[in-house]
Amino acid sequence: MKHTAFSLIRDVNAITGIKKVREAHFESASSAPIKAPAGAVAMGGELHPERISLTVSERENAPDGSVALRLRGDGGRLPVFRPGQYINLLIDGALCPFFLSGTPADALLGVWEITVDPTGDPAAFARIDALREGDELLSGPPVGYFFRQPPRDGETCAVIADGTGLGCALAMQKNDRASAYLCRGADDLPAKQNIIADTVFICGKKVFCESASAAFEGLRTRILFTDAPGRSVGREQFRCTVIAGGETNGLDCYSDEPLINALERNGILLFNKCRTGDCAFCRAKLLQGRVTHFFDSGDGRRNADVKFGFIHPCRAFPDSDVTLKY
Amino acid sequence: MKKYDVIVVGAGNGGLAAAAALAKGGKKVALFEKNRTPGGVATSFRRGRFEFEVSLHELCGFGRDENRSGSVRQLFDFLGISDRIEWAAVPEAYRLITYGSPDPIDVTMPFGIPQYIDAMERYVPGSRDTIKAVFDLAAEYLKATEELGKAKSPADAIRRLLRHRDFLHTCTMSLDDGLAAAGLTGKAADIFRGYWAYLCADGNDLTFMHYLSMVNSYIEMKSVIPKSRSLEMTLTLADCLEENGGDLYTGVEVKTVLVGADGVRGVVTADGREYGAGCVICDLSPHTVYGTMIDPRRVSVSDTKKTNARELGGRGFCVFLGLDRSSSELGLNDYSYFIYPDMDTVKQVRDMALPETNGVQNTVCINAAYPGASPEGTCILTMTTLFTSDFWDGVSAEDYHRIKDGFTEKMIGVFEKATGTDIRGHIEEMEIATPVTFARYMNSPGGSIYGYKESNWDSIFSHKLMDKRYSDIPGLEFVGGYGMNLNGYSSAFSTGFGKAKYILGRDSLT
Repeated sequence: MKHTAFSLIRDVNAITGIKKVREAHFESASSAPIKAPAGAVAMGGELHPERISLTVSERENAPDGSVALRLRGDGGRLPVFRPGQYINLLIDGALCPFFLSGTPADALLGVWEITVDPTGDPAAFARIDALREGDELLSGPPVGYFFRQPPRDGETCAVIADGTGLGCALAMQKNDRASAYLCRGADDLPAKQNIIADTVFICGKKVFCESASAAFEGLRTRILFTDAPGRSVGREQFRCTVIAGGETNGLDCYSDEPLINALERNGILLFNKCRTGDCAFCRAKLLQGRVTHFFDSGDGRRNADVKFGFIHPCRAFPDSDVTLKY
Repeated sequence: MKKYDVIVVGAGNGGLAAAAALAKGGKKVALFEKNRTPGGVATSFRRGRFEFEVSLHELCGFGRDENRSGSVRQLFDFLGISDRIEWAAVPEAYRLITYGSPDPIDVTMPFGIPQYIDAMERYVPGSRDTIKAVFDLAAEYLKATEELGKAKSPADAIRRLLRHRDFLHTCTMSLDDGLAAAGLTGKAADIFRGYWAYLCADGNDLTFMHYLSMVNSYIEMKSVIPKSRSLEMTLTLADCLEENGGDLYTGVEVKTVLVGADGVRGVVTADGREYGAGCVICDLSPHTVYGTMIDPRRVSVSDTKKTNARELGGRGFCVFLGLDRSSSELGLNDYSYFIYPDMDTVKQVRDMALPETNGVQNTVCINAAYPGASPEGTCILTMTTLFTSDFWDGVSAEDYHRIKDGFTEKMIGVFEKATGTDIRGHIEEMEIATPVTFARYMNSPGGSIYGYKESNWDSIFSHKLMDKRYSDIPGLEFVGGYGMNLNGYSSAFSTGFGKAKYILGRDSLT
């Protein structure tokens, strides 16, 4: 580049020019109190609130034995959800997952619905069956990844569920126009040739899903297990030390149950959503001790979490005294 | 009340770098992060058999091969962690595709300045000398910036710059004016401008100096990624902080920064606990800190106006796809795809305001750099775009999923059209992050992942030259994407490291 004495003056002036423009921008700006744009942050909070207070507004006992509860939020709308997602209700000190069986439109009117089937998980059915109109509950936000995504799953879907997946099947039937099949067991599956769908969603206990998956081989399927593998060993008692937010607590834990159960039983309701190891929400650092993870398949943890000694307490069974840090 | 020398609020890249470097330097440091995993969007998540990187495309300023002198390398060497992270080399600089112009571009540009110049000459015969002159100018910029760093005052800065006339001549220019002054025009200029969306501002708002330095850093030093995603860097930095005696509080949100007449006094967390410190470094937007965390009577008129004068940068939107074919089976041999309708950056930035018009995307196929990133016979594509308006602040719950899904379909369609690859038939897992997702996770206004918008009057150059400090409140500091080096991994790391060095008394300038 060619430069002259004149251009030098011009270039130096350009720097002072930017300084002036900068000062002018600041000078002409509003001196009103600073307000951060709040819309997206607020929408994030609306879709994923930490805790929601609910009241049982209606209870319906269907002839087939299933129980539907309509749950009303304490103010205005409830978070919209994807058909197939679930909420965690705080019952007896534990967060228990239940599929939302209603419609997002009802959520906008302030109502969620859950439906449980007596042929599903007996403990979960009993918890819901014990609830009456007017009972109050705390819930987490809708979560889960088992829902139709058109670029991946196409336009049409079918859903095949056992009793544990009834709510999921109902939601997909109502919202995604899915052909829904509620099965009493693996011998109750619909015939393969009757299923006409881009994707078949299979939701239920692991044994049921595996049978269904084999029966529909060749079809495009997505599978969600509603039960997590347990551990059959003799019960051994260990001590678990939990460091969270600068506080330390000690409690008993057992080799035959996931650590999260011991935490919940002791009122340390830390964080968990899925209880299957998928969501990483309960992730904690194992400072001392040994655990064995039981995932549905593979290791559900992120590579870096494995490398740095983080565990998923919802799927981690202790093999010794342990120290966890949140 | 627990007392610290320094409290850092927010464990993004800037906060982690500042906290780790201060602890290493002997300060008593606490780092607070509202999420239970540190890193902000320097993190990853799993779906099925895939682990998706959330935000890192490529790490610049770390260097590899013969050139290992970048700013990120200096930080990681200072902390002694450069070799604790497993790195993978990004194979090429970028593939640039324009799909909406009458004269479409589809070029793959290599790393290495001589190789880049050769490729440019191949794509645009006769461009060799001009493009070489542009890289020579970039080399001069590095020398001039070093001089600028030693300057004691604005007048001293100009005196020092007199030795670098080309720099002095072009340092105030916009990207487009600078390229014209350097004689780079037409298709060669379009190819050279490929990285513009990394900064999310048009050729008039981007400063030539910033853009050129960035491109030079990528092309000369080449880029890397951590094999276990950016979370590997995050957790290494967090470990480094704790190893050096720092306290890391995750899942603990700071709600208030306490300010007295003499400046910062400490913070209060969501559970009502107070922690004392005479210095609080915020890896958060000044909008959030001044607007929601500090007694408004303590915020000066000058800080109020400076904050109100700033516009937010790009609001992030990402589509994460786990595909059931390998990248080579799909013909995706390149790592980084810049896909634009055309190279009219002014028009693109304007069109990025709304989903109907936004046609820009930067897509990464991580397997092209690290084949082991997903199981054999699969690959991962991450599509990112930015929104340049507050559109997402106004989306209602009724419309949210419909707009999110519709725009995702569009992004996948654009990629298929631009590359001629069938994606839709191979999606095994997918996830979408919108500005609402980023706003919620990071408490970032509007879901901005790019800090404040760059413009000629508000650039790294004008910051360095004109702002002695970012805040009038003694002891209050800002780092990260909203810090003085604008957005990006290396920028965020360097603001944190720079602030730490300043506090440790090793640097005269912030």
